[in-house]
Order: sequence, then C-alpha cells, then structure tokens
Amino acid sequence: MPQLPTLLAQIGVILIVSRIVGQLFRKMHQPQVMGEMVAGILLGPSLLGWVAPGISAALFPPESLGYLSSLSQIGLVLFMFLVGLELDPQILRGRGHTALVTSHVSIIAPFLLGTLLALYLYPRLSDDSVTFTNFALFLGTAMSITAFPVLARILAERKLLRTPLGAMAIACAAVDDVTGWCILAGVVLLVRATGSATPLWLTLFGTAAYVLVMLFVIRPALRRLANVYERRGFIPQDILAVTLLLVLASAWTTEWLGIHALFGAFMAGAILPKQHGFVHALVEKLNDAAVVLLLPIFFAFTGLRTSIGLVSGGVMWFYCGLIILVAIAGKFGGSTIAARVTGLSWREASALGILMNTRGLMELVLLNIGLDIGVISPALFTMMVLMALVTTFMTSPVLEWIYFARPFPKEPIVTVETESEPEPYTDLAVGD
Amino acid sequence: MKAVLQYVVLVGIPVLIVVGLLQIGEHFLRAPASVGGAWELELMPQSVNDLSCGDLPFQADQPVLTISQSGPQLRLSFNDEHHTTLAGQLKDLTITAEVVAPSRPAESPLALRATVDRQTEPNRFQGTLTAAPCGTTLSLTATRRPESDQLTGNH
Repeated sequence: MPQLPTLLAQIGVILIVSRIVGQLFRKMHQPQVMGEMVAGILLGPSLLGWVAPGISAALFPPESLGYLSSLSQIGLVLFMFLVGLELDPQILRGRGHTALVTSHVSIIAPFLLGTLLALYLYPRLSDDSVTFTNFALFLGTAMSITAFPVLARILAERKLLRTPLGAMAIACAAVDDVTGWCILAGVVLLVRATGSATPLWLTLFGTAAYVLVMLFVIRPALRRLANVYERRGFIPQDILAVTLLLVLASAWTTEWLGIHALFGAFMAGAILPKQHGFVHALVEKLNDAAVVLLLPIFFAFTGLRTSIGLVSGGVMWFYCGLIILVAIAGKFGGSTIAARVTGLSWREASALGILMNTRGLMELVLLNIGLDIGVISPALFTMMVLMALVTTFMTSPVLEWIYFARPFPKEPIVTVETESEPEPYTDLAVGD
Repeated sequence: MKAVLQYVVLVGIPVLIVVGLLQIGEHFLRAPASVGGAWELELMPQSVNDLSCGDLPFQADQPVLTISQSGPQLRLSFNDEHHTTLAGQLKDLTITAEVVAPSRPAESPLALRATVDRQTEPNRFQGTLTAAPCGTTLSLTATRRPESDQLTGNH
C-alpha cells in the first residue's frame, strides 16, 4: 500500500487539529463535536488549501482521498449503529401522542419551507440531471433533520435530561431521527432508481422484506446476545464479533437494496435489545474508536469537500443566508409552535424549538449522501454545511438566553420520574 | 378526537401542500443543462509548445477540464500543476469562462467559449480557448468522462 505513510500522516494531523479546535470550542461552552466539525473545514480548501496550497496538496493528494473516504464511511457505519442503539422506545412511554405531533410538525414545517425554497433555488443552484422532486425532497429532509446525539449531549451537560423539557426533546428527536432517515432512504431510493437497472418495485419489495426480517426474525434472536451479557456481566469477543457482523450485513443489505449502507447500520442499532447494561457495555467498547478516531476523519473528509470559495459573490451569499434563515424558521419555529399547541409554556416550547434546531453532524452525514448521489451541487453542499454549523453553534447560547438567563417564576426545574436508570442517553459521548 | 384533529391540521394539511408544491415545481421549473463533471479536451492545433504562451494549463499530456456546476454558475479547473481555475456561466447552452484574477505572474489570461449540443451530442461540447499572450485562439472539443471514472462531488 504505497499510500500508507500519507494516510498515517493525514490521520495524525486530523486528530491533532480536531482535538485542539474541539478543546477551544469547549472553552466557548460549545460541544466538542462543533469544534471537530470546524476543524474539518479548516483542513480543507476553505482554509489550508487557500493559505497553504502546497502543504494541502502534499498532505491530501487527490489520489489518497479514496482511503480517507473508506475510513470515514466505516466510521459512519459504526456511528450510525451507535445512534440507533441509543434509540429506546421506552422514552415515548406516556408522551407518545405529544411527542409524535410535536416531532412530526417539527419535521413537516421545515420540510414545507424547504420545498418552497426549492422552488426558488432549483433553477439557480441545480441542473437538469436532477429532477425537481428529488431536489425538493432532499432539501426538505436536510432542513428537517435533528442531531439526536448532539442534542442528548447538550441536555446531559445542562442537566435537563430528567426534566419534562429534556424528556420531550429526547422523545421528539428520537421520532425525528427515525422519520428523517426513513424519508432520506426514500429520497436515495428515488434518485438511484432513476438511473438503476433494478426495477423500483423490486427495491421496494426488498426493503419491506428486509425491515420485516430485521424486526421479526433478527430482533428476537438478538435477545440471546443480551442474555449472554446478563449471565456473564461482560460482552465476550465472540458476541462483539457477531454484533459487528450484524451491523456489516445490515449495512451491506441496505446498500445493495439502494437505500444506503448507513440506513442499515442505524436499523441494526435500533432493533438491538435495549437492556441498559448491554447497550452501555456495547457503546463503551465501540464509542472511542468511532468517535475519537473515525468521526474526525469523516469531518475532515467533509471539510475537504467544502469549499467556501464556491460561495462567492453577493448573490451566492444571499442564497446561503436564505438557506440558514429558512432552516431556522422552519425547525425552530415549527417545533416551538407545535410544542406550544400541545401544552408546553412558551418558554419551554421555544427551548424545545432551539434544541430541535441542532443539526450537527447528522446533517453532515445527510449532506455527504446528497453530494455522493449527485442531488446537490458542491456550492449548495457548502452552503448547507455552513447552515449546519450555524444552527449547531447557536443552540447553546440561545438556549441559555431563552431558558436559563431569566429566573423561573415558580418551581425551578421540575424533574420527571422514569423507569430507566439515570441519564440513559449519555453513553454515546459525542462532544464529550 | 382532538388529538386526531390536531394531527390532521398540523401535519396532514402541510403534507398535502408539499405534494402540491412538488407537482408545481415538476411541471413549471426548468434547471440549466448539466455540464458538471470531468471533460477530456482535444485542442487544435494539438501542440502549442512553439507558441510564446507562457504557463498554459493545457500543455499537459492529457488535458482534462473539470467543471463544478451550481445552476448556471460554473467553476472550471484544468489538470495542470497549478490547477488553473476559470469562473464562468452557462447561458442558453453556451459556456463562457475566464481566469478572473491571475494568481501568479506567469498565469495566462484565458477565456473559454463553448456550446453544448443537447440534442445530438449531450456528452460533447465544442468551442474556443483564447490565450491572450499567444494572440491566438485554439479550437477545442471536450468529451465527458463516464461517471464511473470520475471522483464524486460533481454532477
């Protein structure tokens, strides 16, 4: 492998820069993941390639990017499995209706605004290799996504997880995640079906069969894995290997079906038994490799594809500003109004709105898929990355201003009783 | 009952509006022609070495032009050592582009003008490349590389 020294140097530089920038952002009371996302952009053509093109070309030669891409994809497969693993249907208990309505409104409101925006942007930022429907559906999905792991981390850091607001935010984000990824799978399916030899009905039938097999065949079988953990008190390497094989097989199946490997990885995590000890042990084994080593590579790879130079001129910056404005209005506004209608106070509803507006790395995952399948252009990709950064960055200070800065009128913060163990959503240490 | 009504008003109606907007966009909107991707260039005359053109990007053995497209806005990059980049526009199937601000003294002011024939040859375009120091205009033919040969990121 002649590229090995280059690859090792790349990973080293990525780790150093992402840790340093991540720490700097922590000092600014931002999640570390925010800093790592920015670090990726700093290593790309937007900064390193601009100020030191020679160093950038030597460190990231185009022929070496295939290896970096493969590593980042493996990291994402692992990470999406961990995200799926964190989803527990128990969190919907007792608040199913409210969470469902709030969550679905928080999806459809930005989706609607995203589709309206697509009417304006399609002739201006797309081309005729992409149909309007695919473009609009993707833009709508990108506007609707919420970063479940980052949101959970912010709630944990703010000690809000066990408050009504925190419980509602987690439940909504969970429903958002599942719905958002289902919509994205549909969009990917539509886009790929356009140029695929496989008939659409076959792909749809295959997908339905896959979901049924996962839910009614694989899921019951997986309870045995959790039972082994219960008996022994640890996860043996054979069980870990079986779990990883399941993730790979599921990811391979959905990629083969045409709905992207990440959906399969997410599904594999979502169907695993949710005994907390088992989930905790599994996350502990996989989290560090995925989050500390592989995710920064994904951020760097994203940064290498993000060229702020493509957003040049007043018109392009106007489009970028419009995208950010619509994204915030749709997600923040939609979630706030829905939460208010379903009974939360304005203060809690707007806090929920700003939490749901956190897009973080889930948006970057989605945008990379969009760029890969050719549904968005490089310039639009860059604008959407900037939108993801702005909406993630604004969460902590705006939450502080909306929810914490003013004194509470009666009770300080009401906590809710749940059957689960304390802080069950903090295992996945994104931004730790 | 109230919950169902809430869901219908807050979710159902917006979904119907989205479906309507998709129909409107599909029927009434047209995006610019797709020219993004990597294009292999053939230049006439083939050798420009004898011309006093300075540091020209298309003196490479196999000149390739990569076009990054965002609607009508184009960014064109040659595969030369310096990745010479031109900014351009696509208007009515005509590509016009030029080096906006030369980044180094030896870089030549270049201008490209070409037309895509969508009806007969959508994967080829023909045009001219003008290099000011040569005082000459070269004719060029570009052939789109198959997508499987291209790096992702352009469409």
